[in-house]
Amino acid sequence: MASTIKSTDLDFTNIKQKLKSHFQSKTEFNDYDFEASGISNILDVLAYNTHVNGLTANYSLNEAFLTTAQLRSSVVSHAQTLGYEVKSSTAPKALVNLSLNLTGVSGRPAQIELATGTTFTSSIDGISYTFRTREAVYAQDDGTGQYVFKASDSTENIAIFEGIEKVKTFLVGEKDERQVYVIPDVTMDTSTAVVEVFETASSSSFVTYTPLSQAININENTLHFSIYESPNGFYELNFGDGISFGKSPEPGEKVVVKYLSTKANLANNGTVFSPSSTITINNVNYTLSTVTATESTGGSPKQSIESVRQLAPIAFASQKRLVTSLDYKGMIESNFPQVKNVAVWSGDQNLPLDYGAIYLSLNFENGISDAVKQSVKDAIVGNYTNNLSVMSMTTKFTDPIDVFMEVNVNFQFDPALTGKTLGAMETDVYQFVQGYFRRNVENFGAVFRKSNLQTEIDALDASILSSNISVKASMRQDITINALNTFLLNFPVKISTPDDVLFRIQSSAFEFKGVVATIKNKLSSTVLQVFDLDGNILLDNVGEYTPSTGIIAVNSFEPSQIISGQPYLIFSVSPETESNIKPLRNFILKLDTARSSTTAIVDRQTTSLEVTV
Amino acid sequence: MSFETEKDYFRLAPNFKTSLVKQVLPEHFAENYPSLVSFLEGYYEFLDSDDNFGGAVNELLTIRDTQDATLKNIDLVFDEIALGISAGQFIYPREALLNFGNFFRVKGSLYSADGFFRAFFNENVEIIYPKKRLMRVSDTSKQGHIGAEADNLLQDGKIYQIFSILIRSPISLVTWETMYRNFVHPSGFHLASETVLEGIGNVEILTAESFTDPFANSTRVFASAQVILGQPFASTSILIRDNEDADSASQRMDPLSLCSMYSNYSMDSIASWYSNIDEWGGLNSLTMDDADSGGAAITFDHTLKTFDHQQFQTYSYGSTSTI
Repeated sequence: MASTIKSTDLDFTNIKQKLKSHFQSKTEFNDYDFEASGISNILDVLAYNTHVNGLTANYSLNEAFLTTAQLRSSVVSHAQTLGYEVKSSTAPKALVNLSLNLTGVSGRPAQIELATGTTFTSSIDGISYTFRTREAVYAQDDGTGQYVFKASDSTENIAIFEGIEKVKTFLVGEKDERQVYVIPDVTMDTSTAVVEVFETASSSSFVTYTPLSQAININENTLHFSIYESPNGFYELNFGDGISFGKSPEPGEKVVVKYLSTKANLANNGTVFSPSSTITINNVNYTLSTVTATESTGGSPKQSIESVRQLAPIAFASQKRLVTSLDYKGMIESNFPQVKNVAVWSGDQNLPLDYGAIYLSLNFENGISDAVKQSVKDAIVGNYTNNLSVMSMTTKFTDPIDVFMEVNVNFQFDPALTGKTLGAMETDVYQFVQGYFRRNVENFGAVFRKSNLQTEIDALDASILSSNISVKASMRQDITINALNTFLLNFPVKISTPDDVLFRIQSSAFEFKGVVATIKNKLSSTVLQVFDLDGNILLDNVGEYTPSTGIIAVNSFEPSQIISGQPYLIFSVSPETESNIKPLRNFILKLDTARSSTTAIVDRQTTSLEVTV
Repeated sequence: MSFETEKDYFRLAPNFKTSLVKQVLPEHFAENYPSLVSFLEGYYEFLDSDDNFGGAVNELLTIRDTQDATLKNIDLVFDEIALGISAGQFIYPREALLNFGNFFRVKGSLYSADGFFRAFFNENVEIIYPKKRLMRVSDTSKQGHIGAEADNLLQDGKIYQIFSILIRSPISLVTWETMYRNFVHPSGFHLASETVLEGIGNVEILTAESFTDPFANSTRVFASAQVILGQPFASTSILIRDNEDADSASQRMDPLSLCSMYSNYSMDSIASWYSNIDEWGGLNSLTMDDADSGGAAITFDHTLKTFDHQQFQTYSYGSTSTI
């Protein structure tokens, strides 16, 4: 959330008091009784006037800057001034394979065309959404009556987009007036806009204008348009002035804009698509066979104010180039709604060192399939890094690594200060911790600060008198049972040095030589051993951990079963410092909901329970 | 009342705004209600004070004017176009602000790196491409030569490789690295730094006497002179290669250290370094002596040894921090 400027006093009482002091400092008024009803009323009116004026001035000051503006129109306008294209709603896109079987049909055509705008429906969360093609696709008879449709890029993956196609028509006015064409639709996906200009209102011949952002050369005859969000949230279509940004439509011409009005992210994750109509061949209707290649993704609502505020300055700094790591981050987060956020680091900061490479780790939104993830990566490389990065630099992707935080909160609770029960308060705190992690921690580069969480828990309710939090970190390692497992776990934190009482490392349970066991460090040692549940050593050395680097090395470990039934073991460690944990590169801290807890301890220190005998 | 003329640099139209209470009120108010007129004038005076509405409104006129806006407001413009860096980073923030667009357009170039250090730290730095010192096999130019005169280096997988930039500056890497990576550094290149420490020596020239040479008209001749060069630093240290101890880090040592600094070491501490007196002070110690029975010296046997074997690179080996 943006901070704001406060340039004048905005408290009525303070204003009135200052006004009073101002007059009292003047010889002419210093003996006046400002508490008398008449003059006090006048002061009230003047203070109120000052208050309103002050508010107005503050609003104006705040709206003058991208960082402090509160109105969307102001934020959008500032971003546009920086050359940033604020994203409109984006239509979800799915890839489908379409085919038709006309085996045995006599007189079948050699080629079948599926027209632009062919529609499909998909039900998502019980609501039906309409998807449509945005280009004509064709299928050839393979000689047996099998027709497989192909897109213009010759692949069998046909793109369909969610939305309703809308058309807006304008007649061009007089030349001496600035022509602004407002498209009154807040759900427009501006990237789908097709602009055709007809010579007259009744003409059928037209020329097509292309987006200014795609322009290579511009002269007085080039045909380009641009669409920007207007202050009221609609969109306005702009053309050049005939000189600087290409040709402007002439008076009397007709401008037709076709675009998709979309439900945006609501239509993400559609997996089954059914054609809305049949194909008629020789007066017989046939149904298209539809196979989903990738589910619908990429739908996103209008870019939020906070996102614009964050990304517009980065976009300005990048100048449409990919040089610094920050440039990559801004580019991906601005253009790929499937990506929640991204971590970028240079090869010289990677382990192992890898010069001439840029590492990207993408934190995808939930529910994105592997196929879509790969298509996003391909698009990043194909559309952006191959063209805009420093020559010879290689883009490499690496998956995020989840590090789970086991957060156990104990808090002192005075039931007399709330109407809630002990259990209800424990649930509230637990849910608050979950929300805290979602809001503040579960992103690349986010730092877990124990004191911040503790402060917020203490302020959650008056009945919470104080709190204490213990923190552990854990990672999950896939294990092959009945085989020798040798692996390294790199924790992004230093691990506590060995203690003679407390274990610093502990794994989840597994079966070892027919006994339920865990791996723990030997007390006062960094050596890892296998213990049974009674504390007997089953294997006296299965690896070791290095406190200063956070590395756990396990060698030749052969369990016969994992007790949880999961394919992985959980290794839980005590961080050297619990106060703040700052992961680097592609580590993401997440709350381990199963291993975290909140416990209330009744404490009646501030109230007393009186018992009368 | 704000004082417009104090910040008037003849860049803006003069502002003659003033409260016209007397002129606005009917004339008889001035005669019949002079206190009311004074009261209202007092109110407008209050309203126009710098920290009140009038001051804020006046500020609005130049709120985004690079030359006239307050530094607090300039900071907000820095937030927009300079990745949030503070105006306080610059000696001339207003000038810096005007140049950020150009700066970003050339990021990653030599020009931008030079400009970064000049604008952000007011320093001229040396930007070196280590690849120019790499020895290239079969190269007929100087880079193909071997020997001290050629001064070529083998690729080391760190500083000395193709994708590397070495910045030699008087400012420590930790001070500028994050900003440099955000504003200039082409991601994927190794960023190396050398910090240059330059001392200012005290030069004092003493002349015992001077006299006019009677045979050479007015030429002055110094009969004697003494030059004193001051100690440039109170303490100087240098980094040397890792001694392959547990920390895998370079070692810091005093290049001016003398034997006298070991004078207070006890036999116990020396004993931890040498296994016997012969190894410590013997003629054959540490000198590739094949006959060293202690096994501590570098020998010519088939056992793999390195040249720093049993040499102690730090003057206080084991007792001070390494980096």
